Amino acid sequence: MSCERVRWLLSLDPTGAELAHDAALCAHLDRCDRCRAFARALAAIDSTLAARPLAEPRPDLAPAVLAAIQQRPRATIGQPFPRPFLVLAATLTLFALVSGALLLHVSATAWPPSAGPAELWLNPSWPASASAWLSVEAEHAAEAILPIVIGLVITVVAAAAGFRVSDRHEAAGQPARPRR
Amino acid sequence: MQEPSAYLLACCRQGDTQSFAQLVASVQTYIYNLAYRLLRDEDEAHDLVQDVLLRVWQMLPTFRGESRFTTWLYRLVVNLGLNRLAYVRRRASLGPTDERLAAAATGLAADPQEIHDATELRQMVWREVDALPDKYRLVITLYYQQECSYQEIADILQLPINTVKTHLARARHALASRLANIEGVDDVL
Repeated sequence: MSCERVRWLLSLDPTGAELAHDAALCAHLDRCDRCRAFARALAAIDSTLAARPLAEPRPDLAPAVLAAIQQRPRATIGQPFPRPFLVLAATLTLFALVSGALLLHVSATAWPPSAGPAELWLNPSWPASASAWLSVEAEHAAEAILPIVIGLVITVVAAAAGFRVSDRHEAAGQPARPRR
Repeated sequence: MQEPSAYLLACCRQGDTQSFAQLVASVQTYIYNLAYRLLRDEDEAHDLVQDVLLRVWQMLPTFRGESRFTTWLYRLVVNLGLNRLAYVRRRASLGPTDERLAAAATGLAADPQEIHDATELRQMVWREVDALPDKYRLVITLYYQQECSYQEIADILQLPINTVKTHLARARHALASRLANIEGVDDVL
């Protein structure tokens, strides 16, 4: 076992528990003065750092913080978006859904538009009639679907913006990724 | 640092300033020492701690409890501290350090000679810690001074746990190599 390997293994194990039973490492330490000095330095570092003397902050720190919080606005829970905007978005969505449903109801026409089923099949021009009926129905459907889609888009955009603002509030607690 | 009780955090979230004062009292020493070790300047460390505690007050209502509060707090100190460190470094070079921490340490040994040796060794070790790159210094401080586990350090620094272990090993290796090479250090070890 090389000296560098021994020193790396010693550095990897701050508690020393895993290395205590490593016979090869112990044998190396028995015969290598420099690695023994390294191990002694590591032990001194561990005990010194573990003694962890904590310096007290200045006594005026806490009063200064408590005085400052009186003037700081706090983040709010669950309502990062203004309430009037949420009410407006909900109203628009509801309006779009109701008007869409009404338009669908009003525009619904019976099949076939002018003739009964038997007449239709007997009528040689039925493909043209069916095509005309379909295009009228498609227009009606488009009229009805458009408000629904607009309402849903508004709701999704409002929700996404709300989540984004909320995330930004949360992320402010974690402003930047530490440099590696 | 002990995790504050859920009740205390809930009171702080509700805006109870007395509870927040309790919270500040229980965490300020720990985060001040981490801030000081990171910035190596007393005034900067105080400013950072004040900034962090104000943010805690502002952001507590949005703290979702997905991580431990202490992890969240340490992460706040580290992230804001690194930002501030970059600013401080741009502004001026850092001065000599550690009188206060060394002074705090002198009470640990009883015999005057021991006090002298312990202080000397401590100063020597922390001076070497201060000379380490930021990422190693942070890991050393969190592991030894703040008594965080590997997992907690990984959460705070948002690094894989194996990276944390490697950082710690490299830091210890560098410290031991320097210390073992310092002339006359055998008298103190």
